[in-house]
Amino acid sequence: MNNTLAIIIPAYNEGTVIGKVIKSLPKKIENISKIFIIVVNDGSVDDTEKQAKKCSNTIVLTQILNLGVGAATYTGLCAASKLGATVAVTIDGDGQHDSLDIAKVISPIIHKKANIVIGNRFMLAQTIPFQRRILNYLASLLTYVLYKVRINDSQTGFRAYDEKALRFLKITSNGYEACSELIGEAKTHKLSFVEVPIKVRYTKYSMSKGQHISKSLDMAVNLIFNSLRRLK
Amino acid sequence: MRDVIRIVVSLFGVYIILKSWSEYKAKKESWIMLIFWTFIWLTVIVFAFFPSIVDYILGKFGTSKVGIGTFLGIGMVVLLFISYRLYIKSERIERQMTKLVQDLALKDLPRKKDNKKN
Repeated sequence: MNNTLAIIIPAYNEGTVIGKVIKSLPKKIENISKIFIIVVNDGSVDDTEKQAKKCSNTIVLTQILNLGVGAATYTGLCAASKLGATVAVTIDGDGQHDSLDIAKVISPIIHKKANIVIGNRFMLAQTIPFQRRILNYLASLLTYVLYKVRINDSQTGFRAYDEKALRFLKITSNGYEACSELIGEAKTHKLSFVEVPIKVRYTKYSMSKGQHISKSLDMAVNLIFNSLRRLK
Repeated sequence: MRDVIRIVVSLFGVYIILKSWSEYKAKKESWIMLIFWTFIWLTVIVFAFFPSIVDYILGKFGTSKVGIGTFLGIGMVVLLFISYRLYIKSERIERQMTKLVQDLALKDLPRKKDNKKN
């Protein structure tokens, strides 16, 4: 019961939805004695920071420049570690994830079954846009080629980490390629992981955010360069 | 075809010289860099119009008739080296900038100890 949970929300220009996302988060979770909500405002130019600060019990960290979701996630993980959290979970700031799934995602960590839990959008029968399916398939394939780790949903932002993972994981990629880099890092540090099914809802708003085909080549190049840099 | 290349090179060269001048006027670039880029691009324009100068210069260094192809090859190697240096520098700057921004964001975070007091 001594588990402390940090819910990390990287946010860039999410002023219209961030308040709603924070309010939807569970106040109590079984086996968790304390919950920190950490919003990492990634250099937003709208009122994301203001809206997040309006919410009670929320720690808002502001990055003065827009670095990307990878860097914002890493800032959140560092914050969780500094706060002494024993479990950290990351969810997207656009409201595409169901906050009720948090308990399910952290469950394998609470029961010491894995160091990292990956929320898999494809394990449940639900509507996922074709573009997202293709992008995820290609990214998962590249992740396998680079890190030799088979994973179905390599690009999900809904993940959970235990204390050991928080201590060892280090993300150097700033953008979306960090999702795959984390898997490589987990392998390097011999951290175990499991995938659990999560619900996802794509709206017009959430489709305008996140990964796009136009950025995918850039992401792939960054990921390849990053994996080359890791070779020692 | 040769004339088209000359026109393209000239327009490109003049554009970069003007850009360098406007950067200097806006105090974003030093006068040394203005002179450097102006010299480089004027040289490129001159070479485009009088390619025989390349043979003449190389001949002065004791290399006889290497031709414009060899000269372009050497140029390419130099450009690749410059690209590599720029890549290394931009990577380093990006990493330092990321660390700085992240450290600033984490600066006011209450620490584990303070947290336990609450």
